[in-house]
Parts: sequence; structure tokens; C-alpha cells
Amino acid sequence: MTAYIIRRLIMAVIIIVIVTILVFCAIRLLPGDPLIIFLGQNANIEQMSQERIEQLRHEYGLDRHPVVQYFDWIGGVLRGDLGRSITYRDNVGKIMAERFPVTLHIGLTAFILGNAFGILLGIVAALRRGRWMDTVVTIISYIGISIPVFWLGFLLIYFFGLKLRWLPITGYVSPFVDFWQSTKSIIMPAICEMITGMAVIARQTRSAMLEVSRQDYIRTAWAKGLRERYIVVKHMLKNSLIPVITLLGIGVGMIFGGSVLVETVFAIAGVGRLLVTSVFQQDYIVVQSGVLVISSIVILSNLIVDISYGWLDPRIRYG
Amino acid sequence: MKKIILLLGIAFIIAALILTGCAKPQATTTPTAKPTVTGAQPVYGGTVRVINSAGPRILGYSLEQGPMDLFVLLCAAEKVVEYNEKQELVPHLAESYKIDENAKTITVKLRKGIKFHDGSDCDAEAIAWNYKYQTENKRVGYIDQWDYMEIKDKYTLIIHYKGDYNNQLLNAWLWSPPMYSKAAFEKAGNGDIEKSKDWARQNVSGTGPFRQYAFQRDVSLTMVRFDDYWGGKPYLDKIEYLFIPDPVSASLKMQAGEAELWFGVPIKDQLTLEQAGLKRIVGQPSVSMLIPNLNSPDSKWHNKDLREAVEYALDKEGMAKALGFGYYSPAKMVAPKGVWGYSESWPGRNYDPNKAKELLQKSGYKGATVKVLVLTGTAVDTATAVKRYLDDIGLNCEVDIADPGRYYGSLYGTGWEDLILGGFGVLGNSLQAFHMNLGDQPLTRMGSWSLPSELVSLSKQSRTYPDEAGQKEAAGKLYMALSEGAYLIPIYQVESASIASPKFHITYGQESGFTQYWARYWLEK
Repeated sequence: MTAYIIRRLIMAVIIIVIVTILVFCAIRLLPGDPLIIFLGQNANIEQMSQERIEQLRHEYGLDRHPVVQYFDWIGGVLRGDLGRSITYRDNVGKIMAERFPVTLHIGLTAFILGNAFGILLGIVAALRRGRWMDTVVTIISYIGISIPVFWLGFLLIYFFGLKLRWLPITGYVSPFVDFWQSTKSIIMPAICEMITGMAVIARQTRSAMLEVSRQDYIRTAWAKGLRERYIVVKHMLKNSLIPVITLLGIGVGMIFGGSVLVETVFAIAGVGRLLVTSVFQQDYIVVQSGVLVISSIVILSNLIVDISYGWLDPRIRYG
Repeated sequence: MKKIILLLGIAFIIAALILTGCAKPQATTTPTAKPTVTGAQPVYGGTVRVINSAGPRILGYSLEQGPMDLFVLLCAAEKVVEYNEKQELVPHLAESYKIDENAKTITVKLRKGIKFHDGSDCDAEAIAWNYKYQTENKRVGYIDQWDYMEIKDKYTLIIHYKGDYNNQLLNAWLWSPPMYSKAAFEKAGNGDIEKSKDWARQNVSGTGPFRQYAFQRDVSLTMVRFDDYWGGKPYLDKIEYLFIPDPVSASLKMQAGEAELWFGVPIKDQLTLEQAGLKRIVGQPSVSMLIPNLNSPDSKWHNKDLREAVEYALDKEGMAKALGFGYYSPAKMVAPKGVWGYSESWPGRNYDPNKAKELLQKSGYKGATVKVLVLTGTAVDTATAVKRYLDDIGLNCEVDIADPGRYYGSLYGTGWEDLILGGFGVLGNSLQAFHMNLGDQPLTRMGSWSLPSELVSLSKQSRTYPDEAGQKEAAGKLYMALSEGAYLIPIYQVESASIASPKFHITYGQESGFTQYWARYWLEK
């Protein structure tokens, strides 16, 4: 097991390095110059002088060979310095520290609720197969899979923000400032972020539960006269969870992907919105560092998921 | 089971259609008249929540500050002079100012008793410190004319200039730069200039009626009343800027009463919100136009026939009607209607596809490929219409939709190949706007457009008139020359508009340019 984890960690590092190289190259392939974009916003001709551009290019190390730039940046990251944003003229680590808790708060809430409801709905649908509850769950999951997140966001804002006035339309409040307001402020964004994952999990759980329910050992359990709750939780659910757990790892990535849209619609200053702004501004360092942090989290989540297989299914052994 | 799913599916679609159908129809006619409040008396107190699509990146560090940063700081940062509603420069932090053409000096006498938000005096020394920073870093226009400045006494500053009289010096030197506290800047760094800069990037200490209370990047900026404001006690207690990038969310927030003011409202939302009973505040006019590449030596746009052909090809009236929801009007000149330089007698180049085809044939560019660079968003509709009209006359038009980074990078930096869809707004008066953006020494440079050499002498000459009548006449000549040469191709005129709650009383829009008198605005209880 330890050897397996070490091997996976080494693989994770390799994947992260590949991701950083890809992002480093991709952002530089975009047409445009981040310094000209930055200086252009100043709308001042003197600030756009070649001398000033070259001065800034040197200041940000953009005048060096791309390979040197990459290793400079990676070296900084290893020393805990994510670099300096061109647009914000501030340390990227500081900016990320402002934004990450917000994205994580909403994302974790969405992740936990989405998976809990997804599994619950999947179980209900499987146990009541062919009945009205199954139909309702099926419809909900189809809607969840197909609905565009931003459109759902606007619908929620329209009904709960504008018509019913129950929830604030935009913004985010930290739970450390005002817990009740904070809860109200994340309800709609969390629903938007969780809906797709919940629907997929519900579908997968239903299908896996049905598959397991046909197994001999389940029939034996019923024949032994065990209680339904015991059979469902102990035998069916645990054995159905492996494919579902795989989706949980993917779900972490979906949470960060969804945050890009959700944070824009609800005007929440999280990592997703920061990345969108930075891509438009071609703020290389922010994009690189943001993707590095997110990819590390996603890869780590998937590693945890892989390890958890062994706990769920003792037949799985790691060499 | 299948039937149940089918029925539920149908029910869902029907419900969705009913919901959509219940939405208010969108009128395409001229919008309703502005709601007016009469007889209301100003009252003190209240918080105004203001929506802006983007927040400032830089607060009080003027060397890195752009216009979009400054826009949300106009309640905190003030200038030596300001524009009034008659497009006249009037003393603001200054008590008076005087240009002496013989001595080549601009004498500024400051008002006494003005305090910065940190409590320090706004005196000649503080103003001179601001100018020192601005001029050393070439942040002000006509820097080649800046000679030196002297502090005559605590409240008098004399700027010495070189060269000939230039009527744009007041704009460039007294109106453009906002004034910030030297004492606050130096105190924040405690001798470390980099620390001071970092502080100033996130903090503002000006002389305006509201001082900074809290700033969360890309989220909000809260300003509270500055009780020591020199212009008297402001009516409002607090201003809370909310930075909401999505216009749909912003519109719903206004409708829900969660904000009192929304700056820079997209045209479609203006109509929706006005119909919902909110107030439309009309600001400065601007003209949406096609800017040809005149900088590249081998550019096809040096050909006047081609430029004229493009202008004749555009059905400006049709475009304004279709795209403007009743708020746009066709533009025949780059100078918006009603400002200096706009000429009623100039007939413009009205839609005439046959004439456009003739001119295109004459130019020798029939069948040529023309790229129109456009910023992603609502302007894409305009570019699509342009493409249709240009294709119709025999050009092969390609619309190149760019994200803000590439668009602004091209507009202000690297340039564009053929045409770029841009705008020309008048912030102060139109002569000032010309010199700032289009003149022979513009403060804002465009990547592929600069004033044609044949207009340079006219541009220079227009700066020599000290009197308003002369300046007005000069503006007329300049804009007419731009129109006659089709150096810029106007499409339609837009008025920048904000939307406000009927309970919020604001005179912005009546004031000229980049000016907001926040101390005068008030909110009904």
C-alpha cells in the first residue's frame, strides 16, 4: 500500500509538472501582450512608451527565455512564492489566499450536499424502481445533467432573490462575519455548483444499486430474513459505492470548473472569477499559479479516491 | 412508465413556455419618458449601493491608475479644476487659476482649509508633490511644455511652461490628475517607498466628500462621509460600490431594490429597467465608429474612396433602430450631436449602396477581404450588421471577435489590420476630447490610427485659441476635416446611461465629463 501511494504521488507530481507546462505554453500562445493590456487600461500614451514596456517586461521577467521564465516561476513556487500579478500589482499568494476560502466554502458545501443528496436519491430510485419516486428522481437527474449552470443561477435569482426576496441576489458573506447571512448568500451558488454532480451521482448510484441487488449474496441476505435497512446499507450500498466514489474524485474538478460560471453570475470573488479575469487580462502568473493549485487539489482528491477503493472492496489490493 | 415520463416531460416544456410567455414583452419603440420627482427636498443620511461592472485594480496610486480605476473613486479624489454642466472648466480645489501668456505661467490659488482624508492639509506643497510624481513619470500630457513649478506661498502654486500658449494645458495639467495625500503616502511606507506604493494601491486618501472605509478587491468598495469635507456636509452617509460583472444579475439586483444606482448599463437593460419604473440618467454622448488602419504604410485604408465606400454602405439609421432599442441615433460625424464641432450643415454620408459600390470599384478594392476587430459582447451585433452591409457592396468582410485582452491590446498597443469597432466619447468638451484621443499629441494612443499628417497643423492651431469662441470654431474645423476625409467612420450615437432608483437624487449626467459631485446627491427616506 505504501509503495502504491508513493508511486501515485510521484505520478501526481509528474502530472502536475505536465499541467504547468501546458498552461505555461497555452497562455503564452494567446495573441496579445499582458503588459500592453495592463498599460492600455491606463490609457496614457506616455505609459505605453517602448521604454516603459521594456522596463515592466524586465520587472516581471518576461524578457527572459520562456524556459528560464518557467524555471524561475517553478523555483518561486517551491520556495512558497507564487509570483506577482501584473494586473493587481500584488503577490499572487496573497490574492489566492483572499479568494480560495470563498471558493472552498461554496465548493465544499456543494460537494458534500450534492453527493449526499445524489446518493440518497439514487438509493431511493433503485429501491423504488419503476414507481413514482423513481420517475421523479430520474426527471430531476436528467434536468440536473442537462441544465446550464448559469441559466439555473438566473432562474434561482429570479425566483428566490427577486420575486420571493428570500435570498440575496449577489455577493458572499464570510461565515466568520455573519453566519446566517453567509448561509443565505451561499444557498443559490451551492445549488448551482452541486446540481450536475448530484444528478450524475444519483444516476450512477441507482444503476450500481440495481446491479448489486441482482447479486447472489443479496438474494441470500434476503433469504436469511435480514432487515431491509441492514441489507441496503451493509451489503448493497457499500458494494455499489466503488463507481460512485470514482465520480466523487471527478466531482472535485467539476466544483472548480463550475465555480468559474457560478462566481461570475453571483458576483462572488473566488478563484474561478479570478481565473476568468486573469485569462482575459493574460495575467500569466495568476493563471499558472491558479491552475497549479487547482490541479494539485484535483489530483490529490483522485489519489484519495483510489486509495479508498481498497477500504470499500477488500478484493482490491495494491501492489 | 414511459408514458408518465413523456407526460411529465411535456408538462415541464409547457410550464417553461408559459413562464417564458408570462415575461413582459420587450418594446422596440422609443422608451418612456423619465420619471421626475418634483418638490422633494434634500435630506441627510442613507446608504447608496452602486453597481459597477468591474472594480478598481489600483486605488490611490495615481501612476498606475487608469480611467476605470478612477471612475469609482470620483467621490474620494478631486482635481484642481473641474468641468461644470456648461462644459466650462471651473476652479474646484483651486480658488482661482490664471494663465499669463507673457510670463508663460499658470498660477493656481488653492482654497484654504481643504483637508485630505488623513487630516493633512491640501496646500501648495501637497499639490506640488502630486505634480512632481505625475511629471517625473510622464503621466500628464504635453510634458514637453512643462518647465518647472514654484510654491509661492502655502496656497499658491505657479507652474512655468515652455513654448507657445496651449489651451489644452489646463485640461492636461489641472483637470486630469487627481490629488492624493502626500502625508498619508509617506506615513504608510515609513521611509520605504515600495511599502508606500503597495499601500496606495489598496488605499485612497483624497479630498473628496467620501473617504475609504473598506475595500475588497473585485467585491466592494465602501466609502463613508468625510465630515471635514471643504464643500459642506455631504447628504449621504455611505456609498457602497458593488462590482457585478454579469449584467443579468445586476439588472435583477436593481429590480429587487438591492442597489440604488448602476453605472454603464447595457442598452437592453436600460429599456427593461426604465419600464420597471427606474430612472434613466443620461450621461455624456459618444459615437460608435469604425476606425481604419491609417498607420501601416501598406494599409488599403489610405484610399479615401474605400473609406467613403464603407461609410456609404452602412445603413446607419437601420442599425441604430435595430440595435439601439430606441436609444441610438445615426451618427454623421464623430463629434456627437450637441457638442462643439458638430455641424448641422454637414450632410454626412447616408446609406447609398450604389454609390458605395461605385466608390469601391473606383478604389480598386472590390472583392478585398476586410477584417473588423470587435470586442466580445454586445458590439458583436454591430459588427455582424457591418459585415452584412460590406458584403453587400462587394467586400469580403470577416468579423474578428476578440476578448478584452486582445481587443485593448490591439486598440492601444499592437494595432489592427483593417478596421476596429470602437467608440469616441466626450468627457470634457469636444476640443479637449479631440486632443486627448485623436490629436497630434494625444494622451491616449491608438495602435493603428493617428492623426493624418494633413490635419496636424490644424490640430496644433486649435490649441492657440484662448477664448471659447475661438476654441469652438477650431473644434468645428477639426471635426469637419475628420468627416470630409472619412478618416473615421461614424455609425451611431450612444448616450452613456446609468439607472437609478427613483428615490435617489443625482445630478450626474448634467455634470460634464469625468465629474461626479457626490456631496450633492441624496436619498429619499
